Amino acid sequence: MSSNSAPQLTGLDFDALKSSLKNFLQNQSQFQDYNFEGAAINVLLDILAYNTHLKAYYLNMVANEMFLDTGVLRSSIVSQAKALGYTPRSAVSAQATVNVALTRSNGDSTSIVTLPRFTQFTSGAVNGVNYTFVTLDAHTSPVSGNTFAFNNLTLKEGTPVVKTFTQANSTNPTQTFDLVDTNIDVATIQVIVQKSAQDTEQAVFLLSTDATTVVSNTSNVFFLNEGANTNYQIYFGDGVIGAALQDGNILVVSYLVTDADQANYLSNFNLVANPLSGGTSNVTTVTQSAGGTQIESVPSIQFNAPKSYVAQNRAVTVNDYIALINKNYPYFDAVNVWGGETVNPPMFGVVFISVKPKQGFVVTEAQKQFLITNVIKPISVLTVIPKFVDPDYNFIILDLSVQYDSKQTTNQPGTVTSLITNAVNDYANNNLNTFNSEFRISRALRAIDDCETSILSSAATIWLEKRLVPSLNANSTYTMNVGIPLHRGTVNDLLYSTPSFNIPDVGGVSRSAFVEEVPESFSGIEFVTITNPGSGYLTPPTLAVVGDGTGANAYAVIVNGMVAQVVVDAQGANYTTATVKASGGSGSGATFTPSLIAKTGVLRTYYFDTNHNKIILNANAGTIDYIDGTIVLNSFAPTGINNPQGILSLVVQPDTQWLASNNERILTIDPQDPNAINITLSDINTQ
Amino acid sequence: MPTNQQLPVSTIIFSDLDDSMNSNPITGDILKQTGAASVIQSVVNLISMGHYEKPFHPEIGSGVNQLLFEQGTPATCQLIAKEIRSTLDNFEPRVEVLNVVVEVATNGTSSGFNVTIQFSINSVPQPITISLFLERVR
Repeated sequence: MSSNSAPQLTGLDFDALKSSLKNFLQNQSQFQDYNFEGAAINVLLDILAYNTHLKAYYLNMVANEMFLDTGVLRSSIVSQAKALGYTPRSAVSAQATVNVALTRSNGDSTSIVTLPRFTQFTSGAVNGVNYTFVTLDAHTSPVSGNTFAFNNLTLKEGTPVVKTFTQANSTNPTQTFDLVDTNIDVATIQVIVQKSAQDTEQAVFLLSTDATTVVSNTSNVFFLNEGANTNYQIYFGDGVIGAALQDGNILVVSYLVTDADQANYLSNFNLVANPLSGGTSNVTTVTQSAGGTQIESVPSIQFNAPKSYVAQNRAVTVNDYIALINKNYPYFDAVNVWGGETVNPPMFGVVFISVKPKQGFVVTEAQKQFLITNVIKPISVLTVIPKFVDPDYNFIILDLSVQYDSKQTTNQPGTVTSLITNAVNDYANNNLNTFNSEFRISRALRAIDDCETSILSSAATIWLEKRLVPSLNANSTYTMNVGIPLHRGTVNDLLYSTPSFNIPDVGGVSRSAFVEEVPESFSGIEFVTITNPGSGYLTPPTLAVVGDGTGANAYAVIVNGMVAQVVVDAQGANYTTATVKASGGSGSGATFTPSLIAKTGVLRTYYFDTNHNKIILNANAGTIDYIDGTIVLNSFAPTGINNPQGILSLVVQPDTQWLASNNERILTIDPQDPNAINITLSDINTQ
Repeated sequence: MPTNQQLPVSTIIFSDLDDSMNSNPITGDILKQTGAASVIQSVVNLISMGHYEKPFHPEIGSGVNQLLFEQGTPATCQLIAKEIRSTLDNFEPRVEVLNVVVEVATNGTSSGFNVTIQFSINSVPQPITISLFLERVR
């Protein structure tokens, strides 16, 4: 050997390995011709490099699959997650609620009807496919008249599968049974164990999700394990942790194989087989199908498993709650949790949870109750009460004024307008529609400017819309908190309502009325807060109140050279902004913050008479707090809202161009609302 | 086929293992091919190597294997000649191909192609001619 250089064999690539072998041989004198593809020694180098490559690849793959972060195979990831005590979520069946009424035929004397487990219904078609929905429990109803009523029946989507196994200790000592179906909703698995073919005594075994569900060596529980190809295995206790099976036990395992999210948002169900011969059935949908979800994906397991481990299957911190709800109910678009000192005023012992469903604006009471009872309560801290708060939507309305050059584009104005609308909706989809979101007008305008080459400039006026569905003919007070400082309206920027609502005037005549804002026009300085008392004052400094109003005056009282008190001796009027500055007195450093009286306005209701004169119905219908962003309608009793949904909108301008949401509030631009984005397009060539 | 002894010493810069992998009966070392013989061995290896035989390098090798199953027409002969020439040009930098002649031939009971390749080893003026009988074996 003429050299000590060793081949570099750390790479994985075949060519790199082979080239390092060649480099090695270059320094040796024994072998030549290794550089020529046809040479016999080159074939040997191929074999050596290939072998090294294979080993390197294999070791690399083994090392990758050993860790949750780098694993690729689902079975490896599931196994790693198992070590963290995390069971990946199975596919979830969509769930719907229906009322079923069965009517018996004339002469039929049936007095009681039972709809057994797995009674089948078919749904209305989606993309030409009808899905099967079934009951998971047996339901019984006595006759009433000729009708048997089954109200609020829960239906689960899926094809029922029933499998029977016989335990044989000799061939199956681990008491493991494979359920060879993909897309099983594990929540629907029911295991009934019969003692033997001769002894028909049966026991229902329940799924163990937590060590706490196994209380003794006789607990009738089974365990679940995700096996290969997303199939599941069930296995049983060993007689120490959970009851063990006996030789000859017969297992009847039933479950649903689901189509997951494909069966969401369905209604129009029909009973497949009426248990009443000659009878009729009528199925009405109470809630359409929802909640169907695909089996948890590999990236989702990689993301959630460590977080679940950190939470230790207990709901303590905010993120515990969010992870918990997301894991168990991925049907939600966004989840926010808050409480304690983050509430104003602080409130302890209560955790507020707000969830935004993927479709619609609020989740059903049944879903909330399910989450509290089955998901949160079992693992939350004893003294903490979970409380659901419906999301409170601040709908953003944009009045856009866009200037463009028609010579720089081949698009018609209508196309430019729809491009702008799409740009704003894209911005909203990426930045809004969720909790703790922010709306920045400059970003939205940038998106508008960039959406079409011919757009020269854009400007926007932002409005915020609060929607309420008032109870008709009932005196109620409605409080809406925007959570954003509001703009004091003057002429064209006043709060307004849409559409009109019917309300009787003092004479009892029904009027088609509106709500508007009356800002307090005579506003003075209420008090002055000392931000910094300063020092070295020998005599009280002179205070100057500077603002857009007139007549306010204040003086200072000093103690030990510092300003100790500010007395407002004249409140003045018409201030919407003011500052207070100190001068003289030989001292320095005193600073002040004045507070204005009129941080509120008044709401009034009005209508237009036949002569189009504005007539005030109620001059004191409510209040508006500009600082807190609270709008209150007092004793509001409309008799009708003039739109089909009965939704009354109050629209007001925010006081800032940057909007943020917290707690249960969600900022959104409603894509369904045709008036959410109003575009005034002007062409510079026609001006 | 020229033997090692017929070539000038300067060409014995090449040495390769013998394809047969037989050992020297005296020393026990594996047999070696040196000089032009090693180049000729390489040329034959390249011609008989099909594409995809070398791991990760499907481009190395010739398509002569497939062509042996074609009909014995002048066109096939041309294709084989072209294939041999391009394979050697691309993957055997030590030789310069001077001429390739392919003819349909029979060898006892089987028919195949007589291939005569004339090439020179770079920097050695004397051309080397090798003759091969290529036939399909299945």
